[in-house]
Amino acid sequence: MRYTIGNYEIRLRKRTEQPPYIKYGIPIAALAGSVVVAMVVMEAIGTNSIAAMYTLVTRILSPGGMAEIIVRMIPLLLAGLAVYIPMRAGLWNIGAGAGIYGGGITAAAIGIYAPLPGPLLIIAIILGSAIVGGLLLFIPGYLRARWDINEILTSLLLTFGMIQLNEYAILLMPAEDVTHSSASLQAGAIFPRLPGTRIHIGVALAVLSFVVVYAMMNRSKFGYEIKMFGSNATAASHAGISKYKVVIGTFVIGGILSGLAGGAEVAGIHGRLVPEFSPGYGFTAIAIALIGMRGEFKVLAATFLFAAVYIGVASIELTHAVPFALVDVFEAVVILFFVAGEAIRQFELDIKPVQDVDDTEAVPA
Amino acid sequence: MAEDQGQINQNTVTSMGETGAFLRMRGITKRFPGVVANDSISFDVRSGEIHGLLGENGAGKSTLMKILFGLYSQDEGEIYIDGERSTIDSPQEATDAGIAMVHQHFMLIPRLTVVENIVLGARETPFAADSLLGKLSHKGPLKGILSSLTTNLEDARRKIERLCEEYGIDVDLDKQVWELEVGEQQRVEILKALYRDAELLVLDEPTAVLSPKESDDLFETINELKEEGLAVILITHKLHEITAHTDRTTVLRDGNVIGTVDTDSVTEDDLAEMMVGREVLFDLDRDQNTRGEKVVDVSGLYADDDRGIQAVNGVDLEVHKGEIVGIAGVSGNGQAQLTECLAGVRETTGGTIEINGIDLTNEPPLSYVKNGVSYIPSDRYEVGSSPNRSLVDNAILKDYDEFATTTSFDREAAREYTKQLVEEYDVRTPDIDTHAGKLSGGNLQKLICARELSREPDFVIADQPTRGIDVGAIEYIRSVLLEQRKKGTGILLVSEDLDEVMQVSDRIVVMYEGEIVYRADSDNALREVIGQCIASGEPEAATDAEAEVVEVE
Repeated sequence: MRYTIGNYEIRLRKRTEQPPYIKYGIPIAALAGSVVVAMVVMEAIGTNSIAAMYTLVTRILSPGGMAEIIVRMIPLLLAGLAVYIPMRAGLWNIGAGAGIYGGGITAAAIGIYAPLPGPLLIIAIILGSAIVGGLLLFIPGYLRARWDINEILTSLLLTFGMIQLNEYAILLMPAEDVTHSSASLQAGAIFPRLPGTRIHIGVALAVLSFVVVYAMMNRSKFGYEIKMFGSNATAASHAGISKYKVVIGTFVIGGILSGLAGGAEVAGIHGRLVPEFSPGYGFTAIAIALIGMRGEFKVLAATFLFAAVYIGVASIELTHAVPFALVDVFEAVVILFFVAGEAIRQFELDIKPVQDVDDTEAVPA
Repeated sequence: MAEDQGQINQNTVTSMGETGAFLRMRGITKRFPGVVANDSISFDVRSGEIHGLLGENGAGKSTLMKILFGLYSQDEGEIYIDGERSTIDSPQEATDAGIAMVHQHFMLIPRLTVVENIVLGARETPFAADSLLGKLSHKGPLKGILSSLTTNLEDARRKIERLCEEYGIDVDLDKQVWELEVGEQQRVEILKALYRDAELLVLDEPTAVLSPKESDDLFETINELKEEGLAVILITHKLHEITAHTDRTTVLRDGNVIGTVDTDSVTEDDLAEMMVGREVLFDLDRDQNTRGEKVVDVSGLYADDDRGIQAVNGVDLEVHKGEIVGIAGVSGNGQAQLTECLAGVRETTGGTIEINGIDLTNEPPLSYVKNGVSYIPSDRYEVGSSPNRSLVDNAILKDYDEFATTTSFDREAAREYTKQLVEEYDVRTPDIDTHAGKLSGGNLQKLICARELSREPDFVIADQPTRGIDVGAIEYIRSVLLEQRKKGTGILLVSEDLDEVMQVSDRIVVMYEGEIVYRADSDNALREVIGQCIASGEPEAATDAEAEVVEVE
């Protein structure tokens, strides 16, 4: 592509190599750009953006803020990986939310009804929410593998269905008081917390899942199969890589991870089943997987980013009278800047003065 | 090399003095990191000539043409069009300068009619060009707005009809493009170029997708264009097309011009030698080989194509160890579907496939892979490899479970294995972490052959293994297939190139409309009869059984 503006000629060309300033500079610039735009938005609604930003950053860097970010990262990382793995196989899992609700309902049911002693109860919740999440996402996986039914539609619809099922499950369960939620889980079912924080044992689940997913993607046969299938499904099938194994397998793993996310939220944070206990984790997970598309550690970094934005904006909501919807604005801007950064990573602008053709020296043949 | 240098200088001297050339490219140099793709290339094309452009994959032809079309900008050198120094920075500028290209993959929109396709992007505004409104709306945003609001196809249609008449091109202008045969679609591409007042037409391997009859028609059209004074650049790997149809030919090798020759003065062998830099063996030795036990037994096989139309129609076929069975025929006669069935990647609708005596009919592809079947598909980029993954990932695709288990992946061993293949099969690549899609066609094909042949297969299916690659790579691939045969592998070769089939096969069959209509040992095969069977599905009744026997070796 070529444009001429005044006496300058501007071209867009594909980068052949990526110098360090591109590799590290772009994420930093994207982040800085997002912050600037968020500040402009704050100014526009009459907030002192510098003071607000100061509070926001102080909150993020404080021990309490860090702890809350970690709490927030647990479901986001699990859900992000749940989208990321099918994405590497060339599939869109929009159903992390479905897994989260499935896992949450299961955790509440076990936590309220199961007559088990403490530790066993927790193990039952972990296993149960993982299994239910896996079974739920088996559905879009199977439909895609067997009949080529678009997995985006099926997994999205499954999410909406599960949100409603969650409401219904609350009605079925014993209620504690007039608030619209289930009764509390048995004391033994609540995930133990790190003293003084809300960090619960779900963090161990998230870390373990991350390690297992990293190993699976990079150090196992199945990881190779997923990546080859994702880059050329025809070539992969011809080499004997089973479509059923990859498509259903990635969706079921995604379901297990998102089920865990839901179980951990209910048993670790809420202690009861509440309506819409997942504030769009399943959709934020898509953004996380997209930004982290090129590797597991990028998924981790993106998870941190989105958790920090959430916690940071939550801190200034009261102190600086910022509407909480700013979280959505901030997240959207982050996504836009990172997508733009990807374009800059791949292409470079070449600006030079327009030359009169005859000015150049003839090159001897 | 000294000799080459002499040739270059000589050539430069002769063409420097040339004045009437429509296109002159002077000292074009283009460097990419680590490689000089074009090294001071000088190249002329006159109006009213067909100029062949020859070179192995990676010799610099595509780079040179991309520079001509403004897709790349040269680091050094100048382009003169019609005697005037020009800078071409975009395909639009190339079009404005009268340069047009017919790509190997057509750039047509199937759901639009022929007229709509031709006019697309070059629509006229509804005002006469010399009126005030016409002048205003000739360029810039006004043209964009006006031409997208109106469909003034009548004038366009008249112009296209005139062009068809002038150049003797026969296309139904009102049909939608998807209804057209491949050859007709190509004519639409040519019309597109003529409609844009092209004076130089570049044809990139135009016959790669055509049947022999369609190719003949194409060359008739090209000759017509030449008679009308167009300059034509013909890029092809088929030497006989060069010698039969071009006036002059420029040969490139490793980014250099080896020479520009009058085509009348050279033979195919000369051209091949210029291209490769050494003598090319077109006649490979196919010494006698003992035919072993049966590896493949196909009986009464039926299969449908992707549209659900029956494509394989009751085929019986055997392949034994240590023999090459060649399937001749124009593509689209069921060969692709037959090979896919034999590789286990297409469902059969009837009949059985036995490999090494085991019935594998409609078993998954993995069973075929595990039972020693190797498959070299005709589409290297879409089917044979994963272009966005590294050479390593591609090289181990068929045997990755030797390097990976549920809990481990031995990257080092995989890399070692890939290095070995790359070396053994002479795959030219910067390194093994390069994406497979970055390799040239010939080198990618070598990599695929390396992957498929080095796993000691019992049966190899090679579907058009030499299509669209340069003579050096063709020679190499044929020789590795012959070598594999010597090792006792049974090979099924599908090719549209009858010479190739006759040269390397022990037995020949002809497929026509999904059926095998002719079988013979290649030593007894009658070339003429095969030709008739390819064309019409049966030998002509009048043909004498005593027609000359074609020497195969």
